[in-house]
Amino acid sequence: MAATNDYIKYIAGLAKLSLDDDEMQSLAEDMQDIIGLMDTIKDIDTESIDATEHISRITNNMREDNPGNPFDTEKILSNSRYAMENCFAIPKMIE
Amino acid sequence: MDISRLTIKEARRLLDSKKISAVELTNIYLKRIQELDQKIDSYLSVCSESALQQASEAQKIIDSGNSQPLCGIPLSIKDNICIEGIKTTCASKMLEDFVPPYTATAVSKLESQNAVILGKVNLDEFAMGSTTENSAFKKTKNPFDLSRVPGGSSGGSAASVSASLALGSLGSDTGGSVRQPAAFCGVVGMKPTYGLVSRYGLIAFASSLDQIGPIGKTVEDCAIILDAIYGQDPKDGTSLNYKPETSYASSLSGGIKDFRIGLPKEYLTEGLNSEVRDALYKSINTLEKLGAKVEEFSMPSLKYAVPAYYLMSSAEASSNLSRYDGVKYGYRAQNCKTFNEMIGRSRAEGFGREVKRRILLGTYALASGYYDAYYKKALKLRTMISKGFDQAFSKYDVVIHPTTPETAFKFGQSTDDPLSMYLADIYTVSANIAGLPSISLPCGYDSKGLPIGLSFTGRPLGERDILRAAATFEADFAPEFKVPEL
Repeated sequence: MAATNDYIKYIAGLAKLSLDDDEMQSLAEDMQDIIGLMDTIKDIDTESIDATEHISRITNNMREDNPGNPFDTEKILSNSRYAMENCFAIPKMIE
Repeated sequence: MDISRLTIKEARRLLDSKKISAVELTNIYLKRIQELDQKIDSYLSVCSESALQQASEAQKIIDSGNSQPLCGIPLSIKDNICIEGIKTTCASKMLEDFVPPYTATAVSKLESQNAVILGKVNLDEFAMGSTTENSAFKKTKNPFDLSRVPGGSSGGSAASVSASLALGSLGSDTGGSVRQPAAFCGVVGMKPTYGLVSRYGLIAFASSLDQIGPIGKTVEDCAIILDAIYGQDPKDGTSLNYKPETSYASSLSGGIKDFRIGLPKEYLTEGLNSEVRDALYKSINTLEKLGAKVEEFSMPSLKYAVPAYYLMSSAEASSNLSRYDGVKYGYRAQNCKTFNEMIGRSRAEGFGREVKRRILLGTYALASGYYDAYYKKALKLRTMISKGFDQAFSKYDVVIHPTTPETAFKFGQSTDDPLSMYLADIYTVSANIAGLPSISLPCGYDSKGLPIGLSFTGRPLGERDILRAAATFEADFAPEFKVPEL
């Protein structure tokens, strides 16, 4: 499927990337070539093959249901300049 | 003492026999970094004060006669591996001021042996790239030719070891990012079996492919580091509960008489540079002289390894990097009027171009209507490639191949052509797809004096086979081994 500018704009929206027009155009051109490479997998028949989501050689690696120590709140807040009253301040999202 | 040829093994001997103190050794490296790293640009941050403190503590352990293999040994750490209290940037504007509140398990294990952490080294942004040119902060140079790239994404790690600005390094390998820069910089780098080393504290790129791996001057040095960092970790649910019968560092001897080595025909394509091809066949002659049996075999699914890798890794990256929204940490765009504007602009302004490409590709592959044709199909190719290797390992002890189709590129050669950069990963990605251990070591130098890397890939948890094959080859190659002239 051709990576049209409109479709890449839609994908960028899904990915929450607010790209300006120039960057959108340039990335859309890159994506045309890259998707062309990805399309080579269409040649091979994988109908009867199961998908492998994860190559990990273990399943259900459970631990005992015992509470551990929480992270220090100060340390968690310290990486934001917008921390206040033990919360992270953001622009209003509900009117 | 020729610092350019010093190894971890030899440094251990010098420290334990009191020929040098841990503080003196650390000071030698800090001074070298100060004098030479302006040429190489491998370090993003140098931790002089804490390194000297660690060296001082290490000396007390050495004096008590209880030193472990990495006690007092100065190492560099790729800047996508968290160390509490030290900036960890992933070479991205997005995390330019991020200071982790915790330390990666692999680094904790080094610290428990009283290793010395010299600083954090450069990488392609969020480990996405093969040249380290995608770093938001600086371009690391190849110590063998300063006009060329060191490879990537662990370019800073490989360059720091190659230029003797660290005795060893921890990098990360998602599609070849430890092995390829090791090949370009003429040092040894390995990717362990998926799950052997904890990923806790490794900032995620593609969680089913990422592994932390060691880079060193020798195979033995890599084995020493691997011995320190492997092991099950309750903080990483994908880490394996596995302990080898003997240490990796003691598994290097024994030779390779009657070792069965396979060379996939699908790797012998037109794109393989003639000098790399010649070095490969010369290496095969050496291995046969050393008693191994080498033969070509076919694994047709390898043709699809690169697109399968880029689809899976980009899909996982698009998910992993969705956490960077400017809310709790990381770059936040200014003057945003709404929450959605804040997220969209923070991500657009905080991420570099290659990261944005991969996020778009990953989102595309997972989008409704394309999921089956791209992402799910890539997962099926993963099954085929893994089964192909299972079949190969029923016949062979290890698989051999060049690490890269050509030697280190000039700066700028690949940044305008992402496709050619992706295709150059042809030899390394399949080990990540199948979760296999793989090691790269120098096997020659081209007509420009640039290093050529040879790779051995093993069965799951077959680290001892690949280390033994690599160490045996390395011993024969030793008289030809070169260090860069700086």
